[in-house]
Amino acid sequence: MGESLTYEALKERYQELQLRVTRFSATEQELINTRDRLDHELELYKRLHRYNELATKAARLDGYYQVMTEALVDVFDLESAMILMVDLKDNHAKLYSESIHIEGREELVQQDLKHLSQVFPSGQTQHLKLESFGGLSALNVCFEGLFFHQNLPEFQTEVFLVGAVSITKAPLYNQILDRHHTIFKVFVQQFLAGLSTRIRGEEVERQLEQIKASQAELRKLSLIATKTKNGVIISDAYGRVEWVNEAFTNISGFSLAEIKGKKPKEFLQGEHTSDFDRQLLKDALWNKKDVELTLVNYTKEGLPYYNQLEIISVFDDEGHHTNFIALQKDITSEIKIQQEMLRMNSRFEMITEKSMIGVWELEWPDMRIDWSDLLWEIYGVDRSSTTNRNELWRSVLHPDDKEDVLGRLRQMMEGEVGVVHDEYRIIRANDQQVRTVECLTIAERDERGSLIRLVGSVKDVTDLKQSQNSILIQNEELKKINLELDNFVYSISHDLRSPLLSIKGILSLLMYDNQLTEDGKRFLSMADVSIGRLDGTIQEILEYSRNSRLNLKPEIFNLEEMVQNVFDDLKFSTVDPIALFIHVEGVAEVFLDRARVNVLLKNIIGNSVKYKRPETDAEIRVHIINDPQRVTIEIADNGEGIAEEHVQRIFEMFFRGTSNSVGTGLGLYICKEIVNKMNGTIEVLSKKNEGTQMVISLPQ
Amino acid sequence: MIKFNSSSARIVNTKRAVNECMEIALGNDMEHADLLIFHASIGHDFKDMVTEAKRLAPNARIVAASCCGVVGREGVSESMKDMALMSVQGKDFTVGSVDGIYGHNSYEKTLEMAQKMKSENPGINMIYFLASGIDIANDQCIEALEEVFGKEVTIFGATSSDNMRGVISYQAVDDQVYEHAAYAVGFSDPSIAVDTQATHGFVAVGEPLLVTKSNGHIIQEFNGQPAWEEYTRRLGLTADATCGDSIPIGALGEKLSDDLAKEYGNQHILRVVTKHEGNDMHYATEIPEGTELWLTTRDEELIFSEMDRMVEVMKNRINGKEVVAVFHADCLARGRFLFNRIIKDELVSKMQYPFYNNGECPAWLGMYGFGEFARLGGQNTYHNYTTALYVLYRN
Repeated sequence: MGESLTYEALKERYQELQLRVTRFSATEQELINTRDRLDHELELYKRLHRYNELATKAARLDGYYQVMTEALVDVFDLESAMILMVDLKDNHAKLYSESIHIEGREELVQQDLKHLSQVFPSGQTQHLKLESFGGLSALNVCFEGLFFHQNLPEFQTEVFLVGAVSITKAPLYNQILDRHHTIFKVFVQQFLAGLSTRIRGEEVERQLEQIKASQAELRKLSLIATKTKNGVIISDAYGRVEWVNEAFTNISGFSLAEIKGKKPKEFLQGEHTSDFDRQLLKDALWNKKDVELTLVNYTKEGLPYYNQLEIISVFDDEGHHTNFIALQKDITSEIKIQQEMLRMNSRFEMITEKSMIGVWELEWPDMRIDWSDLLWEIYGVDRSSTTNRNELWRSVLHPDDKEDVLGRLRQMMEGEVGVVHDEYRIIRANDQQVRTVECLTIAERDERGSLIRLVGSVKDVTDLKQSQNSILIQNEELKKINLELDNFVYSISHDLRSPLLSIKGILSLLMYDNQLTEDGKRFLSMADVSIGRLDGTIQEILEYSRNSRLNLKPEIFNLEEMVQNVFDDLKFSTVDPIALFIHVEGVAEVFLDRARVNVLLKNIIGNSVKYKRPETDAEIRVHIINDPQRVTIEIADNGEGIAEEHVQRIFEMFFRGTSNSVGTGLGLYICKEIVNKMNGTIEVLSKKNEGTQMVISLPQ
Repeated sequence: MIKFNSSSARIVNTKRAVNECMEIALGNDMEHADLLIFHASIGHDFKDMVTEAKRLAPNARIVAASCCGVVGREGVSESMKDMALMSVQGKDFTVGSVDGIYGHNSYEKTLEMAQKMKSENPGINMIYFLASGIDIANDQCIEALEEVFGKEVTIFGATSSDNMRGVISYQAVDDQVYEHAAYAVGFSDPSIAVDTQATHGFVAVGEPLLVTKSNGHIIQEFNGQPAWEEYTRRLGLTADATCGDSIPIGALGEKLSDDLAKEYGNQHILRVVTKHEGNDMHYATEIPEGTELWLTTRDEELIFSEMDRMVEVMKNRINGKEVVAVFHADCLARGRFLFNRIIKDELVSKMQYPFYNNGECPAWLGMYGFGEFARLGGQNTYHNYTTALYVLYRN
């Protein structure tokens, strides 16, 4: 049996037991917490291991830093972390951060980290407490953290690691304990080992990249050397050929097998290779200098060609001369074209000089302007002037024309017009003379329409303009004189004819005077004939004058009837009979100047009547061809005809074909003038003693 | 008809974690997400999280809450950098939220939110509720929700937490991050129903603590002694102990009626308590004077056997219907502070495996938080220290 207890003692023991029961939970929890801590620690190591694996997989150094920044947060259950990497070669810094917003404060963070690195020794891990962050600019919000920095001279890099918990979030995070510090040391060792491997790896990778790039470059160069159309010769340090490409063989005809080991001068140079070029080459090769020149070389067949040559001396990394590379291009055709262009240019310059045309060219957009020699003279500008040519040109423009000229030039430059023909005045610089110039300006544009250059010509046309002006004045004066002369002729002829007809009437009255002797009658008759001839002459002058003065007045009339009427008026002027035959093709109505056609017919049919041949059956054949645009009148007779030597002159003023001609020599001249006035033609076919054919063609 | 997808990831960088979760859950279909429900550990940057999510899914509503760890199809993770996502495609839902919710205004604030949701969507038939878990009166929240939607609408969800420090918790709605807010997602797909239940597996020990003085959800005295002093004394802790010290071992049990105890598989429903001002204690629900509260201790065998029993009961109730998603709230004290990793994984496996469909785990979003909501005796009830499962199935 146990001891007997009082109620109070029992109650006390019960309470104690009750406390033990409940406190068992606390004890159990402590065990759980201990287990959790161990479990958590194990978890941290697992995380560390996982991040090491991740870091190993990070392809680039950037990725490595970022993974390790993340690891700092995760492995140590910190709020945030940063790694700063400073490249000591150029002091370039790069900051990697995790779970912290530092945008815009990167420089302050860097300053803080550098400040911490001055406080704490390099290469040692640090547990930062609240006071460690005092005085910092950006990290002064931190409560505690882990820090490490180290200069890595072998990699020319300085690294800073920091993981931290802010004052605000500190209640949520576990305090950093010694065991965390221990793991941090392990972490830093692994970080540095990984960094070292990574940097070396990157260096190897970089070298591999360089090698790859060099190989690629080499392949490209090899491809270029093989495929280029330019000849390539690679020779050793003594200039002996080691390799040539296919293009060289194509140019020169020499294969590699034929020239390997030889010096190029031995087989490429010849009679017309200048001594100067030979010496230039020799000096350059001797001194191992690069050289560029164009010289005459010879093909295997002995044909000369112009060789544009560039020789490059090649040195190895130690500076030893190893090779020459010669790049050559056959520019014979270019040289020929160049020579031809020079010839053409010379001709062009000669032409412009002889034509007194100045030429200019403006390169756009650099505004470089070239003037031909003559242009300086046209503008009267001193060649030694240092003023910009554009300014010089503007300075000689006449003030009254300047705005217009510049406006047209602006339009051209803006693409509104492609070519400008211009005429304006300049004030020649040397003698202040106002001169007129005629200009042609052409804009050259590329395929997109952008201006490339302007080219132009300038010709001083002052003298020409003055000559043209005086000719115009003279022409005007002549026209006036002609008009006055026509009026005078008409007035005189008209005024002469009235008294003449009065005299003719008086003579007719005298003829009926019975007291008149036979001689008197004969003399009066002779006077009457002379007066008649004078009247005929005056009438012809009047017709000529009318034709000159009066405008064409076309109307519809029957041409066949007109021919018949003219013939009827004339047929009685001769004793011998004469026959008329008219043939009309088309309608007889024509649309022509009736009066002028009547004068034409009177003159031509009159001649046929007048110059018929005696002892023949005289006849006149008129053939009218009327089509809508043109009327053709052929008048043929079988009269005396015209001597061959006179045929070409019968339309001249006052020309008379025969000595026994009774006319004034004006009739056919008037016909020619009328036909000209009517924009028609008149032709004559005639043979002495056979007859004459006149062909008149008149537009309707 | 709404569709659920889930994912979880443990990635240090918040934006990358969001990308990973969304890629797993939605693949190339991110732009067509209508709702994203995130749970994330307190170590993540919540502003970064919602910003990145909005960038990837500009048309989606976003809600998020902090927690001590997550449970997804991929398993359990309890660290400072966990994230889990349940994505929803479909329009049959309404999001409501309210900021500035505390113990003294829990009813009013929740009522305000509920009324707004009801006006926007009268067809809401279940509510996923998630509130700040530090200091609100959760039973008042239930009361307010039931006031608007009726008792028949099931409320399931959790309270957000930190990593059991009881310092802070975050809630986020769209692009705003809060510290004292609540949000709710009211689902209105008539083809979907939800079954809920909670279990803890703790047993009461010793004599109860008698509440001799209280005010609302604040306990001022136990057995006539200052509440916090008496509570920590009984736990064998010093009075300056923190919630981190007391929560894992300090679950208080409230006695249930025989009917409820039968359904619950336990005589006591558990409550979490935290230190309030002075020696006052914050109780998760209203606590009238005269209430007896028992200290409890964990019984591992009971935890496993009760988990099996709960899942079995739920499966029977669902009766073979298609499970479309499971929301899951677990008390943070049941995580790594209770079990080692192997046992925890085994426990989660026990709750997930029975709901597998054709060998695949359904969309699963779980969190370790401060509290859980699940029906008990047909009533919407707030729980602590439990595992609560909310199985959404298609009728």
